[in-house]
Amino acid sequence: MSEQKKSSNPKTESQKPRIGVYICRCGGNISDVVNTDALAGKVKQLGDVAACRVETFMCSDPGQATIVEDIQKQNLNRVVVASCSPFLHELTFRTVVQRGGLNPFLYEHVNIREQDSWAHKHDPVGATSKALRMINAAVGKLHHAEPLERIRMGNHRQTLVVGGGIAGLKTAAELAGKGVPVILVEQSSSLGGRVALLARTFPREDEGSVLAKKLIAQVTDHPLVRIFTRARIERVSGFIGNFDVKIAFEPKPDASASSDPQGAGHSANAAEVYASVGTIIVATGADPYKPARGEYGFGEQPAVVSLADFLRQLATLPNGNFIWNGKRVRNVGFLHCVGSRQVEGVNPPQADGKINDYCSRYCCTAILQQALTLKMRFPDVNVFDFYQDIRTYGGHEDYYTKSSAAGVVFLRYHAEEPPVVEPGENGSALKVRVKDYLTFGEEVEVPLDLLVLGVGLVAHDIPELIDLLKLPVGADRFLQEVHPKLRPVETAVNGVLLAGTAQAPMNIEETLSAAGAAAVKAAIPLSRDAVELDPFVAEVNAEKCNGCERCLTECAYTGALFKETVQVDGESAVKARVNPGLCFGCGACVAVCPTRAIDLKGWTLDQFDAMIDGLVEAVPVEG
Amino acid sequence: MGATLRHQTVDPDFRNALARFGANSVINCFNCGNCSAICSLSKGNTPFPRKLVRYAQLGLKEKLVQSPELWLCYSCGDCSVTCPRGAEPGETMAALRRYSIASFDPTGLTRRMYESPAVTLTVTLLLAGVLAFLLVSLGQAQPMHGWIFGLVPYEVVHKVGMGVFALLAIVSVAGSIGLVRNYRRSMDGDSPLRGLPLRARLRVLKQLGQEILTMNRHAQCNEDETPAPWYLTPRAIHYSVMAGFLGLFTASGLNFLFVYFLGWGWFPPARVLGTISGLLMLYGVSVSLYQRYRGKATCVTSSALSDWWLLAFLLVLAVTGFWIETAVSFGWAGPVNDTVLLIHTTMAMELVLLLMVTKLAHAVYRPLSLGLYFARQQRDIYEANGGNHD
Repeated sequence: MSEQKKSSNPKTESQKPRIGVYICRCGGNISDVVNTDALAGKVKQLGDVAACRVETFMCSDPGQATIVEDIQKQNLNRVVVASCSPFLHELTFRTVVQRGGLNPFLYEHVNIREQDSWAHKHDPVGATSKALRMINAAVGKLHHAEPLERIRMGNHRQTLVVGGGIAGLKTAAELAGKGVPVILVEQSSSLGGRVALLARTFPREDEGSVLAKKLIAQVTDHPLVRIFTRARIERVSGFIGNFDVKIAFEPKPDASASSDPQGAGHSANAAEVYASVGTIIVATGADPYKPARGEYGFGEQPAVVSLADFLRQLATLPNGNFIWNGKRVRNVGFLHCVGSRQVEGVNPPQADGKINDYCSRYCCTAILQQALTLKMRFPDVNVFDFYQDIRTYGGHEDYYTKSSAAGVVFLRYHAEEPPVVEPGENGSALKVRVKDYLTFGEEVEVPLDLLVLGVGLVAHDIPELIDLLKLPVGADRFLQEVHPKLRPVETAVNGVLLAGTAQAPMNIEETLSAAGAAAVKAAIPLSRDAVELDPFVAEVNAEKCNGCERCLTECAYTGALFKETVQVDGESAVKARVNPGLCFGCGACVAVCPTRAIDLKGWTLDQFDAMIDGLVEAVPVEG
Repeated sequence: MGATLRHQTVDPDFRNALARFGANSVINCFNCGNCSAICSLSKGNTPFPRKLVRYAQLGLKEKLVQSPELWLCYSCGDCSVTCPRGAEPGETMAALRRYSIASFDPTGLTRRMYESPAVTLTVTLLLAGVLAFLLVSLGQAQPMHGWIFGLVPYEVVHKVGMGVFALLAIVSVAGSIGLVRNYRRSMDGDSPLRGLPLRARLRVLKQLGQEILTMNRHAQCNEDETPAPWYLTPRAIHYSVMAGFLGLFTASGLNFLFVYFLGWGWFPPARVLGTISGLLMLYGVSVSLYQRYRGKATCVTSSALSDWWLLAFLLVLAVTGFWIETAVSFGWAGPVNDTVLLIHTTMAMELVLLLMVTKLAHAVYRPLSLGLYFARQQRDIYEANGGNHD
């Protein structure tokens, strides 16, 4: 690749621009609205446009070949493709341009599908005119384009995994399997997290410790994994490929605890460890929701228990009659959405004043699994299930079907009218009053001997880590990915990835999938000697910089901009400088610079001027 | 409205109790509402069978016996065929009607009869024995009174008959009052007729009379099926049984009035009505029995003992009735004819005695519930018009 860059046609940079413009019909997606032929006719008349073609699918192999051929035969030195969103094919065409022998950044992508033909279906004339203006702006921008090089930074080929639950363990095991060294940091004294404590999991129907032990064995035996327990991240600096981390240890309660097998890997008397890593995976997990005292009778009525407690105790009960705390139980209720899918003004707010309006995902299936287990083991017990919506997705509908067949009675409530739990009468411990929408919204009262609260998940409180890593946090207090579907395990911080329930409520299967995805994403940048970053970062023209430091106060990314004292004509002067590894290219510094000393590479102020001129100038075409 | 606000206590064990009345699949229901959608008689404000199946699932007993919808159903079975979960809403409705009939009997005898075929047979035979003994023994104590009453004197038959009718009146009135009380309670003591203008009240009566005489609502059932010949439709069969029963009831009353009370020798209109009614009854009951036996009746997917019991009674009554009529017309005599008469009289009394505790009780509860249903309809119309009738 670098060889190609060096061999790129030297005349491109200095010569007068010869721009090729390629218009895609997108199989009618564009050409059904935009008159592409008329558009091409006008584009050809634009200054410096040396070639203009219309293709049905520009991204197809023949379409790409046309561009490569034109670059070489017609001596093009800049290229515009007007097609779909740059998210889809900008990278495709940069590579095409590079194949043709040009610098890949002498390319502009114009989106005349999402931003034009799809948006203006009923105005073909206007859409065609808009396409011309957009292409004209791109052509104008290319006039001022400079060849750019991707930023290449050194790379520590090692990953830090924060959290030793199943997400962290799985990530570590996967990374080690790919040959990536891993540092696994766990705050508590043992690995396995919350899953290790579960008495029963779905769909495997075994104890959580089975899975935890399996994963623990995979990492503890692996030579590439170093495990630090009773440890926490104290300091982080740097950027993707180049993070420096300080790990501190909790003092051990007593010296004899050194037998702890997971403690191996660091010297017992070390109080801290320094490490350099390329990527960081946050797998800090979530906590079960703890109902407030009195919430659905919790903490006040002994017959109200949480799902996890029920799970644990049910596993230990002998068959026969269902005896709970010494009393025979005939009627059991399960309540869904405790601490989840809350409604403003109905449920009291949490400590931070917000409500938990999200779905905790695992609970419906877990509840029905328990209801079914209960019904199978104690068929005489009547089971009532109070739900809003049954969400046994992911192939677990079986739990609902079987529970229903086993005789579980379902009652549906609306979030605005949650059930009310009161002390029971006539020998039953509780009664639940609920407006049941399967009984046409009539209020019914269910006598119960035991009520199990299907508590949801809440974000684990990790303010220090959020601060250290600049992690984005969503409204639900969970860590936030860039895009839930397109970039599901990446954060806005390049090189920092999410695995498992630190990001959102997930069940075990989803957690393991997410962990696998995070491991792959973490391994990709570490597969090369250097990390390559897009060149669109700020650059300071030291001659123009007057050292006013306004940009420094404006910059939101620690370390991206810094001041240094240089010798200018024998005198020392303060100048701003950019660390390209940390710069996000946001442009905030550009906007405040009084001397136009800062520019964003690939998005210079001159280019913006040219684009605006291009948008305003163009002559509308007739449809 | 008030009724829906008052909450009901769920009875988790009700399903087991209901199973003994013949509904075993209530728990299968997942409340999709297909049964109500397919039912031609179920309307927006009376969404049965779904509503009643749900009440049964939760064991909302009070709501169940307060639901006139129970009696609006003609048991066509469409719902059971359509049910995607095999919850058998039609059978559930039938079982709930049995439960409802039993719930009006404070002695608990009815419940035991429904729950156990042995109890049904024992009660039936025991009662028959007592009645037969009564007829025979009383007959011997009285002077002879013509050949036909050689065994059982005319006086005794009719006095016992009158007693039976009096008892029937008391029991049915009590049951009806129970039903109406339930309905009133479900409406918080309000009457559906309250505030209705006279014209609307008359319309309720007219609708009720029309429905009883024509069974038009029954014609709406099974509307998607390939039509049977008119004389084999469930409505025609049910209608012939009902008309036969009512006709014979009327003929007996007329006979009693003219022949016994006024002392006429015979009263031809009663004889003609009785003959026609008897034929209708014989036809309806025979076809019913045959279809149930073959298990292919459009209206039945399963038969409970109480279904067979009633049909069997009616069949025997019709056959013996014709036998006696023929014997009287041709002047036959002898112990065989006497025995037939004894059987006929005993069973007729027994049927009437047991009216309110058997399936036959629907002859009382259905008109009452229909009346309430029509009254509510009129009231809705009345209220929708802002209190202006028409």
